[in-house]
Amino acid sequence: MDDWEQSWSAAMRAERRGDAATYAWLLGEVAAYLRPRLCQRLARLGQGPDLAEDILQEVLLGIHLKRHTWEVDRPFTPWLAGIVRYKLMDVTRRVRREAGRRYVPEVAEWFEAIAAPIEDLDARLIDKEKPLADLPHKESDVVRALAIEGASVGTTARRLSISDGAVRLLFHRALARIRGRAVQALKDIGS
Amino acid sequence: MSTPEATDQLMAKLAAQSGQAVQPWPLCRRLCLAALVSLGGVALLAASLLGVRPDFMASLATTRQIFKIGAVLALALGALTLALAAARPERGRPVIQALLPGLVLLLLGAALDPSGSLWGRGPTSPLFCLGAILGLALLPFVLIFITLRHEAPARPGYAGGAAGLLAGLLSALGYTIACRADSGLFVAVWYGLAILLVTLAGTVLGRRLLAW
Repeated sequence: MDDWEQSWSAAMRAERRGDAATYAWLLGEVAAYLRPRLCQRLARLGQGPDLAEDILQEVLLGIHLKRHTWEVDRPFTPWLAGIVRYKLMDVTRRVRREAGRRYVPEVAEWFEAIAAPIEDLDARLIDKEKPLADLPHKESDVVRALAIEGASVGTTARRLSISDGAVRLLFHRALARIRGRAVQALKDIGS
Repeated sequence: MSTPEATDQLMAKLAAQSGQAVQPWPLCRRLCLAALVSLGGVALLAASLLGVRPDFMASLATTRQIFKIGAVLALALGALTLALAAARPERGRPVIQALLPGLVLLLLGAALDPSGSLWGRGPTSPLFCLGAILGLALLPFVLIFITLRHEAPARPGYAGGAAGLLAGLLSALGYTIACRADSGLFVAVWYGLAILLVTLAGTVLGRRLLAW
């Protein structure tokens, strides 16, 4: 955090001198930091990367339009966190208004998501994807939604435009198939 | 729109504008200036529209007037701290306790000096004071909102409330030059009510005007 504070606040000071390259680097850094965190969180909520990119753009624009409110003798990262928090809250409110009943994370959850390390989760995701690869399309979609993204049966049913019962059936079949393959794989290893 | 390529384009566009933001004075200095100008303005307006109370200089030596001015001044300084913190995007510790000294003075004044009718008459009637403080608050309200408009408050409603509180207190402080009622109880109740109303207005308007 201290390293970020130093290099990022230095970049903000460079921006004041009109150093476009350093400022572009800073915006890129912020985007690189936020993008995977936003994407991952939204994926778990069953949202596409579109919304994550939308939010990211809002945040970058917020930083840009309010950059004069950062005073050089104050720490930069708390300021930045404030801008991000505000924009997340803003977008959450907007999306919730537009979507009505669709689930949108609370600010606290956002922050938990953004603060949490994601490497281990990514690794686990990759492992989980492997057994899904050979499943029929619908089955793998259902397993991904229920077991990996943690969506509810109802949400998954709506997203895939099928009935709740069909979701349960597909999930059941998929698990049986995965189990069968695992047993087969164990036998192969044994022989 | 929502692709990483579009984001890259956006970043390039923003970077091209580097160094172009107007750097105003630090917020602290601007807000203090706005507060001082409004205070002077309110006092001037009160003096010219309502007239300075004839015994103003003499009243400065009385305990009740000292308590009144002391309480409002302390509250105004507290509100200034509040507004300063609220105007920033950083998550700050709540600084509500900045109002504590002023509140204690106000309540102490009311407890020590319950003399004087709560329902005075003429230029010392509660409605007159209420109306005067509300009317005079317009000037500080506008000046402070203009000052905060360019900031990035974490919570616009809260920032608006702090701005309203400050405006109401500055108005009350300037109005003491004309106000003939300075019994502790009267001040706590009616000044308090007027200031609360301005705070409320600030909260409501802040949600709209201070959002960014």
